[in-house]
Amino acid sequence: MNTIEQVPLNELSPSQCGVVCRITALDDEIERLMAMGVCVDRVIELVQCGDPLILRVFGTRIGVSARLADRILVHPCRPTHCYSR
Amino acid sequence: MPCYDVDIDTLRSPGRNSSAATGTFSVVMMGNPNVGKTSLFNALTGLNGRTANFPGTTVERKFGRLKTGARPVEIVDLPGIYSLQAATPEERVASAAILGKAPGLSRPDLVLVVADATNIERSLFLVSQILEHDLPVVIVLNMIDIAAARGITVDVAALEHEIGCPVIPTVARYGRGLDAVTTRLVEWSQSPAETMLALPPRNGGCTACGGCPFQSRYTWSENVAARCVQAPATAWGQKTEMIDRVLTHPVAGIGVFALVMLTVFYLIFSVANVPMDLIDTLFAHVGAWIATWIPAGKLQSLVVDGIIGGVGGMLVFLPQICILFLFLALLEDSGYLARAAFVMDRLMRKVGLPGTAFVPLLSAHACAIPAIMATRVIRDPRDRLVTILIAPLMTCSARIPVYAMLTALLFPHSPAKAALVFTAAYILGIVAAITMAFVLKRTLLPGDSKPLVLELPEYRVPCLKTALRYTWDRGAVFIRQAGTIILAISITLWALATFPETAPPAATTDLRVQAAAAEDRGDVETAEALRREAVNVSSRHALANSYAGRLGKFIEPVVEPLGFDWQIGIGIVSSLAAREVIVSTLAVVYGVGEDSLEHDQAGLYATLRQARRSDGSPVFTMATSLSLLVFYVLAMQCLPTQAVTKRETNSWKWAAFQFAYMTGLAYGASLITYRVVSKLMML
Repeated sequence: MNTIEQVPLNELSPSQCGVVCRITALDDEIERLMAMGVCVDRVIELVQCGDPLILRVFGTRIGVSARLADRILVHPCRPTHCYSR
Repeated sequence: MPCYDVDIDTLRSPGRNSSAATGTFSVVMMGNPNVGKTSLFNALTGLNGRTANFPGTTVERKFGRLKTGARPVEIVDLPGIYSLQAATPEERVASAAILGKAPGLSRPDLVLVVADATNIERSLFLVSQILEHDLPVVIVLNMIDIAAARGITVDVAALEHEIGCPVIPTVARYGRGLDAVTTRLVEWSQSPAETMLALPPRNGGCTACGGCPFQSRYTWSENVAARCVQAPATAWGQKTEMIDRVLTHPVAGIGVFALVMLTVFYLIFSVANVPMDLIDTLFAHVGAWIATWIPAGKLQSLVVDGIIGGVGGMLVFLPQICILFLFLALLEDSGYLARAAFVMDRLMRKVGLPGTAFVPLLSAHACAIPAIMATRVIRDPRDRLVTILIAPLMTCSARIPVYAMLTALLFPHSPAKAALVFTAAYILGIVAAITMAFVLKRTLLPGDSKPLVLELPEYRVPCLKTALRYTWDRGAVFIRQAGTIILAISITLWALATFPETAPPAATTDLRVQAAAAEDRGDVETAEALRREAVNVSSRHALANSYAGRLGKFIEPVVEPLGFDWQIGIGIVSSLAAREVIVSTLAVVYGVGEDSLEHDQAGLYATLRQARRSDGSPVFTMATSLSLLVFYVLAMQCLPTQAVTKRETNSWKWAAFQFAYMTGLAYGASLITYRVVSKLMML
């Protein structure tokens, strides 16, 4: 994993996963997402890109507006990394 | 690190805040959305569950009594939440409820947390927050069958030990494990002093450890799950993913959604007609039967036309409401509704509304009343309010007879033009709604739509029992809370059209005399026609002199610029009860009689076409007809809608605003239409 590289969630490729490293501009909606499992050190997977996009965390699929996903910065995992839960 | 020590001093004995072993034992049910709380609640409380808003809010709760047990155990089911953080109205109410500060709810004696066995970490997040409050907690681990099917095994004893409260595995949908839950609740209600060590969560909720509090709770959850749950490494949910590839596709998804909605829509329109006709017929029979017991007169009219007619007129909304909610419940339970909101989101946001607003707005084309009730799927209260306010602008089925009458008056010999005008009326409603949404979001209720955060649950076969129960609840809420107001409105409008009584005019007596003479001559047909005419003249006179009639005359100066006369004014006043009433009112007011509606519609339209003002000019010119059409597209001509708006927004203020802005919009558009078309006709 490249520890320097941080990309917004919506710039991952479909089916690519990443580890959340930073979440900017906290507000009610981001906190809601955090309560659903999207917080620092969690592995999340971008299932489908677009606006809104679909991500997966803790085995749950969540539809999220791109402008919210923009604020979730992740360390992208290697393409061969397999997200199993 | 200090937060990971177990502090003996913080061992609490539950029940400190319980009421004594008499009185109601109150249990509050909490959990994430989609974990099966509703199934559990229904199973525990049976048919005695009721739904109501928390006073002063639009957040709903369900409450009911446990079916067994010596001491009454009241269960309150709160809406699903992800956290007690108070970012949404539901979360605010839930965290207030736990503190005993929710309106109308005292501090609970026990919290029943429903957790998802297939997603324990997420459920444990909420559990960790709840455990921080000084209350006994029982965890129901639901959907244990689905977990088993996925190869997930849960060591319940270890989980109980880790968290420090009872954990009961269940499959609420099929009733498994419920006896254990009931027994536990009854036991606890009878001996609140029973102690159960409730260890604090490992993180203690402290933020001094650094990082976000969410993070530390999730770390705790993951650690507990790692110790108590065995899950296979292989990914599951592949079936869902395959289906989603189509259903959440930006283009195909919308296509499928359109198909689904058309089907539901068609069912609401067609299937609902059967019970609606049955209700109409039933109440007509009941009315006729009652009429044999009460002598003819005002009392009979009050009971038959006012009360029975009013009740029937209110219950006739039920079939459409029930069908809509049944399908919404099935679609939601199957997991599809979330996908529908997901695909519609992009389109709806261009209008400033969320994807979830689409279903209510579409069903408003059948009837705005169930549509307004269905806006509860919209999360943001501001978006929900805007949707409620614009829903009645969509052309509902009650406007169709009015459109039919006016387009027939406009283009009696050209069905193509009539159809065009009909369609234009529909489009006008939609355009007006979109424009008003735009305007409202920029003026009165400003603010961008909240970004979408929507869980897409796994697909599953919907449970018909739960859906039927939900439909029953919605129907009961409608009857109890909106229906009573609708009934009051119907009776008031009946009174306005009936009082004050006036003696029939001389013309009626003359006609009756002529009818008797004709009968003597053996000319039965003429006698019948003359008697019918007598009734028409009498009704027309009575209506014109009633309060409704006087109101019509009173507003004549106001509606004259729109091209209406006082008779149309009476029609508008009377159709405040229900839009289609204007057709029958105009039949009476122009002396054609209500019977003609059923037997001789062409006759009604022909008569209306020939109606003349006092100066001899025709009433229903093109300008007047178009102006009236535009008025009916946009006006709030259905006071029962106000009753439902009030119930769903919890205030008469918004209901009044809805009435006011729609009336203003209708007046302005109607005025412009009349002036423009009149000028064009003069060219």
